[in-house]
Amino acid sequence: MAYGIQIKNANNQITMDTSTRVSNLIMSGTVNVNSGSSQPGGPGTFYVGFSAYQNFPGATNTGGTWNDAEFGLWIAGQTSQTGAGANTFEHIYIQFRYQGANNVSQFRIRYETYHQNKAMTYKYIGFRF
Amino acid sequence: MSYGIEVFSSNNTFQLGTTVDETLTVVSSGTITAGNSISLNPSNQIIAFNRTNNGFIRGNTNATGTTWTADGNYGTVKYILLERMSTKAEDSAGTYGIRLFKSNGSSRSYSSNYSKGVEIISVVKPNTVGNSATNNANGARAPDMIYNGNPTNIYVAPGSQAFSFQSGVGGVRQETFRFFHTATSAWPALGIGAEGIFSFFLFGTQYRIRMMNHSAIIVLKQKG
Repeated sequence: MAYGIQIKNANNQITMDTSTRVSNLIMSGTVNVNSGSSQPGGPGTFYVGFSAYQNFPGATNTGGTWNDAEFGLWIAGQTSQTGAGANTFEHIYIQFRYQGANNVSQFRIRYETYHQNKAMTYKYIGFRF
Repeated sequence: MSYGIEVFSSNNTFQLGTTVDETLTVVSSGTITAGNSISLNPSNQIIAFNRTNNGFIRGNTNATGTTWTADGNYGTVKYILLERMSTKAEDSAGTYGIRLFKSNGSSRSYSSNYSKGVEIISVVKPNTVGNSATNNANGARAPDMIYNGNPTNIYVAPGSQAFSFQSGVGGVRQETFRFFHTATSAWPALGIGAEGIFSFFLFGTQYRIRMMNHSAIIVLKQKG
């Protein structure tokens, strides 16, 4: 190698070199969301709840384009839930926002389910690749 | 950055630096036979899957995310378990190499004393794969490919994918990936496809509902 960093283990196998994209965690945590009692689509449709916004440092949006080739958000399966009801046909969506004036990027989870007031907790990890 | 070091790859991707919280290392690997489970700690571990022949990765987590159970109908799958370096002891004591610490001065963000690293191949954005086709009724369709090429030793870490599935007991069906090691008449290309699929029967007809990925999907391989 002529430049950069190369790391080998005790067996002389390379664990990192100049071409490696590394999984760097920049933040992690849990996020809570409750489906609430609102059915925006009318009776018989999903209850829709939103989590609080969580900070995602490093992610930026320039002219509507996120730097998501470098930053990614990984959501684990929910780690707890309260409220009765099967989970079939539920959805979560990740929603990002960027406040350029304050250079703050955040995300929240939109949770859709046919069950009212169902609370879920998800673990998340923010990566920089 | 105002101090410390930053290391970038030849493609200018970020590798190491003082702004990083921490890095992942591979702590175990093996196989999960159909119908069997593996335990994991969702607070600091991520599971990623592979298989050595054509077929599916299908399974469920339990309600607390502490076990993943392979579906009983789709054979054996391979896995690797990734863990945060701050919670995993170093593989060797190491009197040489490099260590990076968090600002608290004691938690490792990176160490060369781990014998296995992780290389990211790609990151599939949330809500982008699993539902591209329009034929939601029964019938074959091409999957959304998330990796093109021979999938040997290429792993996928799905996170929360298609939708919650296990009725009444919580849990998330982390699926569905389809590995193509050899070309088939149904799909001639090698690689890994992603399908968020749920099927059910109504009046004797099977219907398939396809969902997109909730979480980013990490395509990776082990280093070392």
